[in-house]
Amino acid sequence: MRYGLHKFWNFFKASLILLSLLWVGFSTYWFPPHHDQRVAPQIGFTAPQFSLTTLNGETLDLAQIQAQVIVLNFWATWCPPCRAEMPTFERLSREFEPDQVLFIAVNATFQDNLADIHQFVKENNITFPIVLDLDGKVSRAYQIQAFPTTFLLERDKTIRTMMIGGPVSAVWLRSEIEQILNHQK
Amino acid sequence: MFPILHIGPLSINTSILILLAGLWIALWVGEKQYPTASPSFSLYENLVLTALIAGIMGARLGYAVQNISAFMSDPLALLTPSPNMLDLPAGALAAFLAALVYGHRHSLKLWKTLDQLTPPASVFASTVHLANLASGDAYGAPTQAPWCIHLWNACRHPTQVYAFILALGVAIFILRTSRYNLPEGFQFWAFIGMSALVRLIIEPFRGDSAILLGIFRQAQFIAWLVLLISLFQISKRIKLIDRE
Repeated sequence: MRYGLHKFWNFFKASLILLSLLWVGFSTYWFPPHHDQRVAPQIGFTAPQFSLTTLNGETLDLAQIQAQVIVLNFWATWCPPCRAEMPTFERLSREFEPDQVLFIAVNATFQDNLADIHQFVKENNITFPIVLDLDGKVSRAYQIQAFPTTFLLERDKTIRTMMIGGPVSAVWLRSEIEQILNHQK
Repeated sequence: MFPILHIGPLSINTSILILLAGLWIALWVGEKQYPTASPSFSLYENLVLTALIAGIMGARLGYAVQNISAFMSDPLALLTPSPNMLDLPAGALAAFLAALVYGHRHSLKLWKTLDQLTPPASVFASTVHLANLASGDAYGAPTQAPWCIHLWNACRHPTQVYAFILALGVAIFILRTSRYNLPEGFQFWAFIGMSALVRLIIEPFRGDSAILLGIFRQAQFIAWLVLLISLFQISKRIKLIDRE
């Protein structure tokens, strides 16, 4: 009986090792691994492109931006954590050159009020670009589920990290920016 | 994908909620499975909580060490309740060391403790895949299979669902076999081996695999090694059954 158990186990073990090795070989051949370079609002993917109008009436095209790091923040004036984190973005945007780190705040204008946006920007001395998502297309492309949501993109527009909710910690933001800058050196 | 749960003005991270619920269910299952004649299960619960707290603290410290210049400007950020500022390897190391110290202080036997924690760990492991499904992490490779799910702008293998079903099978096996009087460490290695096998099977269907030497999937290679170690550890214990 015991001998039978031992014999069965040895057969099972050898078969499992062999079959698992075969599976590794088979799966590597039939389903070769490849880097998914699709456009999607998820870490590791390329960020969805957009071209939106800024508060000043200029056009901002994400594809044309050559900054080493792009901080993309989705916000609305009625959202308290969005309002709370804006001074952090403003402070950090002044610390870095725009060709090094560019902050872009995408306002959910389809759910917001232009007068409130102008007033908020004036009160908080926001100097980095605020773009207006008038029809909600960009928010939908980024699958925004809660405000604020912040994405950090590399120069090639790959999403490096993201944070849903807020307010973001200045230390987290600075740490992630420095990590991307060091990675691109 | 269901990353955020909106309750009134609150936006709750669904995957963290699932993981917390998973931990609670796992500990409840552990307590139910525990033989009443033995010392209190709270000893093991405290071990888990000690490791968890030490793990979180270690993960935060690890992140701070890696980003020391940012933390020097605001040391109080160490206390910020943010899940983004965590370093997993540092957290795992801190949790392991804390568990080791706790176990030594309370004279817990290594294999017996691991066996005791294996049933709850197997239950918790299956909820991790549900958390991944909610957040959209551990996503599958694009496919034309009729059961694909639309995620990240493609129809993909629902790898989180595959992993959940297999992990649930592992948990059921572990819970059923925990009734038997098996050699010490048997349950633990059976769980580790089966979990490695699950990863080995699922990995080719995933769309986020890290690649080794330009051809192989890193996770598959590691899972195969872990499976090998587990099988040899189980063999040692089967020989013990023979001797007895």
